[in-house]
Amino acid sequence: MKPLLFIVEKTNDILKIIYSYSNLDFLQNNEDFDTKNDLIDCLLNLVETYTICLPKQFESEVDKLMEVSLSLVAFDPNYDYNNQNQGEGYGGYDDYDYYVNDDDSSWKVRRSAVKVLVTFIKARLNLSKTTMSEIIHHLTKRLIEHSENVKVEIIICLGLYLKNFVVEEQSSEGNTLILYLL
Amino acid sequence: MLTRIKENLALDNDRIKDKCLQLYLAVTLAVPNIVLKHFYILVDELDRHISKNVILNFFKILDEQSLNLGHFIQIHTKYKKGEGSNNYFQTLHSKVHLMG
Repeated sequence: MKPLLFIVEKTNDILKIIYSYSNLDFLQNNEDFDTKNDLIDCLLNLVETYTICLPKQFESEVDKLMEVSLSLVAFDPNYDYNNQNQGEGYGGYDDYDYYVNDDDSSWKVRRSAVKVLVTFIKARLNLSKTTMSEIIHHLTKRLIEHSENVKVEIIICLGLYLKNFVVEEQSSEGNTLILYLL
Repeated sequence: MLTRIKENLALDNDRIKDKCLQLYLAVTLAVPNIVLKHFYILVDELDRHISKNVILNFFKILDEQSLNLGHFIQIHTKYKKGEGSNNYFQTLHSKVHLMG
């Protein structure tokens, strides 16, 4: 058997593993958070690689992968976005990242989730306007992200989606997107 | 999104500012007529003289696409005394003068 064919045939098995671990239930219901964050980081990197190498096999999984990624992009258990003064005790916004991110590795999950969404564009998957609009909507809400590295990934990702989204201002999708943009 | 971009431009972080201006450019190209109504965001940012290359690139693309040059009048008013050594700003100023 040729190696590539073997990989293609195992795609479904790999996806099962990815879906069984890459979800909020798994992340929140067990201890050893760092190991779990690292595991999901690796699995999402695997999704990136597979999507680039086997776009046709992964195209049918876009909606499910999008759902998984968007839920993980919002996975930030150790930060309270309602408490604007959270960083003050650490000397400000940047220092907060410096001190807290040493303990909190959830940023790896969020960053990898955004990268999966970037890969959909890089792999030139056939994304519907509804899918793209939903991704833009969710990522726009995540522009409040406190980790610099994750925020940069989100901004880059949003830029890519906007460049690939031809807005027809009179269409319903166009009107919805314009509401998100303003 | 423009509100979020403005919030991020206010952060003391050049890397974020730079990326946000690129995103602002992408939004502008997606829906130019609507975004240009919110041009004040960029005018505010110009005050800080940060990410000048990104800002100039932004103007250049607006110019190439002939997008609502009337908004450049705001820039001209703000920078009629400065930025004279920059060729691109000089070109912009002359365009605004031509528009009257």
